[in-house]
Amino acid sequence: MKSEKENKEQNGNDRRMLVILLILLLITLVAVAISVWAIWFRGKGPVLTPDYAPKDIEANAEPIGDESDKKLEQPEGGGAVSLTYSKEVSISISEKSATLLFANPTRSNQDMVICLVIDDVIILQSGRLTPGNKVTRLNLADGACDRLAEGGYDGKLIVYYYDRTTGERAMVNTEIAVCVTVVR
Amino acid sequence: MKKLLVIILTLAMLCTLSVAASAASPITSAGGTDQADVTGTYVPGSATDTIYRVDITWGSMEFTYTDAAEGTWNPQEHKYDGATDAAWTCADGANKVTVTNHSNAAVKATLSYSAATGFEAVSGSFDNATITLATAVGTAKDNAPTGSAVLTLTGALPKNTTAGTTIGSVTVTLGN
Repeated sequence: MKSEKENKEQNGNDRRMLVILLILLLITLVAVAISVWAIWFRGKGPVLTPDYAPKDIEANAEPIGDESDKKLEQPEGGGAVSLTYSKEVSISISEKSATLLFANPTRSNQDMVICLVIDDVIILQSGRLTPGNKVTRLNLADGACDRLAEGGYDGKLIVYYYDRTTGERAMVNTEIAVCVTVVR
Repeated sequence: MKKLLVIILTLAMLCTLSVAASAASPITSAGGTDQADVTGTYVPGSATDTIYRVDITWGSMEFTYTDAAEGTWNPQEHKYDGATDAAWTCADGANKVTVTNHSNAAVKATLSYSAATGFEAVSGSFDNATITLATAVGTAKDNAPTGSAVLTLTGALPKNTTAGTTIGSVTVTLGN
């Protein structure tokens, strides 16, 4: 037969244990909630445009076959580029890629990096596209699929130019308005 | 009277009836004629996609900012001699952007300057901010529609700016 004092101690211990369990449960719930938010709901910031050309050449680049073309005359200290493009871009969410036509002809004197932007969200960013190469397909940026639904969008291609020797970004860039069609 | 009217109407109807033209009625006598229908069917040609090719060239975009000089105090006249205003200068052609259209459609190039962070006091403008270029269809390769614009900077450059610092950028927006 336990005394009243022992019973009180036992009750106190039980209550303490319950409080500790509740605190542990609360911590677990908070940790799970943070993990869920971090994995699925955390907004991804925009991809920053590099000040120097990426070392990696765009994996999807293909030669145009215009090696015999003469280079454009470049003003001293400046740049000269030639762009070939169409204004339609098609995005397949299931393939996580975009189909487009963009070329940096041999006539150019600069490397290029292209970004597709819709409502200030960077949907894709290419690797380095050297003169004499084109792309007809580019992979979407991580998480871009989550921001897109089937339908049409007004987007823009932003083209950055990089010095072929120093890799430094030029002071001039180009924006091209494009129609983007997104399909599943 | 009625008979006469019937005869006239019958003759009139016979005159309006066309003789079916057919090669099945061979020419059987010298000097005879025959006729055949000539038919035409329209098949639309394949539509040409618009392919844009645009050349852009630009100068070094290296500008020099010379701050205002007070000059030398002239105590006799109570004024500064040789005072000059602040000014932006650059080499000939260094501030020029040229756009050339080789597309099978017209192109409109809009040029704008945006200041880099920390250099918002400097603003830039182009003398020909919108360049409208006609289609290159029907033009020789060396005679493609082209246009250019010159950038002018205004505002003061901070005193501690290192030479060659990037203070802004130029965007050429291509539309039609």
